[in-house]
Amino acid sequence: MPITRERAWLAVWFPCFSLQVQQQAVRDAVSCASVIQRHGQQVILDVSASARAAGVEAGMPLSAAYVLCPDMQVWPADFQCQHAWLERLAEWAMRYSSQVSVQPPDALLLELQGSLRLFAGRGPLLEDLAGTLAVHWRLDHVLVLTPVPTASLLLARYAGGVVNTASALCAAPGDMHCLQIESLTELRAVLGALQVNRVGLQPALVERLRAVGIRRLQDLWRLPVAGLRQRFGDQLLQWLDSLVTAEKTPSRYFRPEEVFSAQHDFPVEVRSTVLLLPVIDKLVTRLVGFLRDRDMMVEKLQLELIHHHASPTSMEVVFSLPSRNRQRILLLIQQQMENMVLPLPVTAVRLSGESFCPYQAGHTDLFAVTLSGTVTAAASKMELWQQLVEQLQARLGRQAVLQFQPVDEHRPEKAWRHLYGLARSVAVAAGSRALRKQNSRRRRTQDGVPGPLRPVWLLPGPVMLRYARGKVYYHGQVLSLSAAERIESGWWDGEEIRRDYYYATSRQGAAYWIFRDLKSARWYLHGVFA
Amino acid sequence: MNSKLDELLRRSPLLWRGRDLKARANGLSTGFKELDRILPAGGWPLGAIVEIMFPQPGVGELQLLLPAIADLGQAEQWVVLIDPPFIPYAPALEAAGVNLEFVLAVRAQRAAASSAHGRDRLWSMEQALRTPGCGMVLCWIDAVADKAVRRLQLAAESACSIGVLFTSCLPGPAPLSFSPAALRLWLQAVMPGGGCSDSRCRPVARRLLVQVLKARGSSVFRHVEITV
Repeated sequence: MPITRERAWLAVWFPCFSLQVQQQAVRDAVSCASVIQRHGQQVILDVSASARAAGVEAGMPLSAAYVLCPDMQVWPADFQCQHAWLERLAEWAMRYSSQVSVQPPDALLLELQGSLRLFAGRGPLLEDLAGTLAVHWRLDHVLVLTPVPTASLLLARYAGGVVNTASALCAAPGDMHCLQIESLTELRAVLGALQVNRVGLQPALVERLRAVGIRRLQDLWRLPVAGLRQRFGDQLLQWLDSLVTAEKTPSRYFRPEEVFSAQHDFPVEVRSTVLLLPVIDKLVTRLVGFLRDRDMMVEKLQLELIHHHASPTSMEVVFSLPSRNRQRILLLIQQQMENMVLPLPVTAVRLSGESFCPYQAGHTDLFAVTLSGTVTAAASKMELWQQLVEQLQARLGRQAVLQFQPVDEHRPEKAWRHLYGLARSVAVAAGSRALRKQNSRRRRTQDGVPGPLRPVWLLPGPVMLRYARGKVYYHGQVLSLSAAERIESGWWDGEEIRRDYYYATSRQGAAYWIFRDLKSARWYLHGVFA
Repeated sequence: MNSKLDELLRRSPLLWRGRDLKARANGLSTGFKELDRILPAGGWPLGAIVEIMFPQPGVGELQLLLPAIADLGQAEQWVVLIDPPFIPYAPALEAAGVNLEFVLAVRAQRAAASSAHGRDRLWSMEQALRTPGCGMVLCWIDAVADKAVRRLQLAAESACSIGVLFTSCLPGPAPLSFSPAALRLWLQAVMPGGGCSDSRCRPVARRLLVQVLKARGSSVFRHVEITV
């Protein structure tokens, strides 16, 4: 037997979909029904509970329904609206599974096996899903979980799993029902018991099946395949096959939109940025939901303030570190709006995401390291700094980021060197720790004896100073000198220096490192004691 | 009377005295006890912007920060210098205990003269401040817009880093300008009483007058003389 990966297909069927996608007023009406045109006649599609109690049933002509329930409110079913709802639901369902399929007119299919570990099992996942459907979407629904997608859908639609009504789930969130079938044999048994007239087959076909004495699906399975094909055609056989073969997956999966754009229209013109912020908050919340469903982060956003009869005012929000943190996004927008004066009254706000990147956990505030707070792995911190250096180099040029190292050398201008970028890479981070310890030990041993006096700023090259009547001047001020140090070195490589270095202070209290070149007897400024 | 007040202060969490902020705020010690004492955070305020105004390079403006920078290096926190006016001299920094492995210098000022200088500097500073593991970012800049300082302030808060803006000011009376920085210090060199002209002795320790122009969490601004 070939080993195939276990699948778990969840069908989510919305039994009163055509009613519940209607506006709030319709949802709250006590007796209501939706109708569709069938054979030139208006036929009931979905009915509310109280209308059903009065005897109205799906498939009944409208005129007959009115006789049973005269005060019933009726709306035509809106399949376009239903489809839009299904797509929004599918987008939301992407957070539970990456394989979501829209099954018009009123159901979704989700593959859950891949997500079970993330949600710590079926129970928590299904409960979360059912709870959100009830509380957030306010939709009644039937959940069926089997290894075969077509079977899940069939059982949900026709076999009458228990309906989770939104109002009941809101009251008791844990009280959720889901028909769960684990194995194919069990599934076959459940399917076999279904009556052929209750599985959504064409009425004409059902008639022909009943005419030869076939009542249930199990009767069909018992017949020889060749005979079935000859009598009822290939289609029925394929359909039967698809009910029990786990390899048959939906032909099309839902692919969410890759661009984000959301707009809010104001009922009246808005003249103050303060009033815009709550609306922007809402739009950002939608954006964050959008990002989470797709496992993405945003790098660049555009916010447009739309005016009446004028081109919109737009501003760009660019993130240095991509984010999907609502507060951070809001903060940046707020900062930009802070000093903004609205040029014209605003009629609508549109927020659109321009560039996205895949979500990386370590990328955001997760690794916040503070002096007082948490400490994270040094390597990941190094990575962040490597990234920062790359970012700086990308904008400012490769030679714009430097690190410095001392060099054992007497000539001051050669006693240091610089390196472009980070001196040590992430890989060697650990190795150099020992070296650093050594260095700090060396420093400590020197602590007793003061080392030679060196300025923290070095000039790129010595700058000649004015010398007159025994005094040295810098910027027209006399410098007073102390602490001479003679440095003579470098005769071996042709860059010999012979200098007397002094600590010099100006009248304004600034301290400099200056030297007298013993060869030329000229004075130079070489450093600043900043 | 006083005992009743004390009793109230002790009992009610709603009452507190402005001067007690020292205890609650966390700061990074400056390494100068006298200075720590007058700063409300008990040192450099973490997650905030500090503006240091100094009349000219060489008064000891960097010495003021070196002990803190050395501490940060020991804690493996990064220190970023943005457009330092001269070359940071490695031997002197190492002698002061600075861990050069965690010091990064950024040259944001490009050769081509354009108005984008300040922008690149502030951008670099913001990026660095935001990066977790950042201890302190020092930036030398002529003038900063209030809006930019606020932005930096948020960046510093996000990673609990310290941003230091070195701005030059004219010698003379304290500048009257306003800034949203959490802490503003004004430095002045203190003239030694008698000029030291003996070229054989080590230079006398320099005195630096640090005046607090503004400090978040305190309404009393004091000044202190420290030895750098």
